[in-house]
Amino acid sequence: MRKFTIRSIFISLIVSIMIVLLLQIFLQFDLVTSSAGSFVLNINEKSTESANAVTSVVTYFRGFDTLGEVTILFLSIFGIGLGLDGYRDKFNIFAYENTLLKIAVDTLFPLIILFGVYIIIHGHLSPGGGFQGGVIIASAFLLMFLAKSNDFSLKHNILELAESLSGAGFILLGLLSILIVNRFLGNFLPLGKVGELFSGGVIPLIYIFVGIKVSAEITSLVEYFIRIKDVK
Amino acid sequence: MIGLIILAIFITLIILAIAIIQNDDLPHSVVLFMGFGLGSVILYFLFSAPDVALTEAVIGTGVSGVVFLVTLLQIRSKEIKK
Amino acid sequence: MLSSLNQTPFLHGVITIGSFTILMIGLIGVLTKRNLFKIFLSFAIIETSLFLYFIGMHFEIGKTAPIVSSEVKRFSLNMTDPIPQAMILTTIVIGIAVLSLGLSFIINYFKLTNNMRVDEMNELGEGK
Repeated sequence: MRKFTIRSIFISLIVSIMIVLLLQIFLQFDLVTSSAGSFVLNINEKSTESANAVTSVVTYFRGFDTLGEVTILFLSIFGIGLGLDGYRDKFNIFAYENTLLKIAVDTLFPLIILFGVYIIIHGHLSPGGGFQGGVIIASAFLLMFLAKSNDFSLKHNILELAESLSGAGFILLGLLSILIVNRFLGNFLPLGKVGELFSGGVIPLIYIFVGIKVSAEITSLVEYFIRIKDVK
Repeated sequence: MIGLIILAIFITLIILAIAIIQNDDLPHSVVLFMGFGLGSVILYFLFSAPDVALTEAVIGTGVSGVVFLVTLLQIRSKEIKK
Repeated sequence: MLSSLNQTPFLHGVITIGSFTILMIGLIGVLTKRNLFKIFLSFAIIETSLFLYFIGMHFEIGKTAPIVSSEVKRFSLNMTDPIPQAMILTTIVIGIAVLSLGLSFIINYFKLTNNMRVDEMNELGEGK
């Protein structure tokens, strides 16, 4: 036991010295006043007409990166599914037996789904978007898993269909815009005006695809984690 | 005023991080980790990044806590059966 | 005296020192703790501290969020930089996916060997 305390004190000392040396470098760090961000803020209103600059960076200026990030998400869920084998004939260990929760969840479930859809659709007008709304929809399914222990199970063919169709839709949209405007995920729809629901051209469509994909993936992540074989 | 608020939240976050590392009770430290995520949500909001704040509120406080707790449940159920 | 606390250099100092302290605590947790679960919790803390540094250093006093609303009518340079926020937004989502991949490895390792301590990992016969 005493050996471990000496070891941890030693490691703490070394890490602290390292961090203090790093701090001396970083405290002299000056911010550059004109960056890529100011350029984006200047041209945002002309090129995308979306009220949220973060959304236009995620879906328009860095749209190809978003495709890569969705791919990483898919691959890690794939790895989890390979490791924690299968969901058939398994029990839910996350369940909490409570009558009040069971009754209330029937009312709450559509409301949470509605809130998630609202966050996704208004991604170009207010804070939020595909990633956040997708996780909110997944948390509605999480509540269902919590309330209805083994009575509730997902229809996996619908889940897989939604996931693959939204991924394919994302790529097809990009390829279509290469054909029309010669830029991957470029804008080929009418732009509209800032602040209206139907504005921003192709941005709401991309965020709807990202939202469906993220919600399906986080839901299947949770499903893989809460199932276990013969607990009783 | 905003400088003092940010300083206070940073001190809270440091105390919470030490508590998470030094706690022997694993579910307790997961719940403290969710509190840590909530503190960082307030900081993101004060840094005028509402998109990041919303993402961290949904993921860092909700889903990641659930994933950690379910991992503990899986391990416990195996331990009880043995 | 009190007004100097509301200047941007003081704020950047607080953010740098605070997030690097959290990074230090997380690194110490990764290096000294023996429980695999605790190590992954420390990784999550390190992740959050880096996000705080990245977002915080691009904020200056008086800048608004990069969103046009009924009060802020036009995009201007008086808004925070949107690019770091967009990067961190996607990084948080990827972070939870990769973290849960690691946690599934913990579950599988525990099911195979009934062991969660790093210093008792001896499957390849080293160390003894």
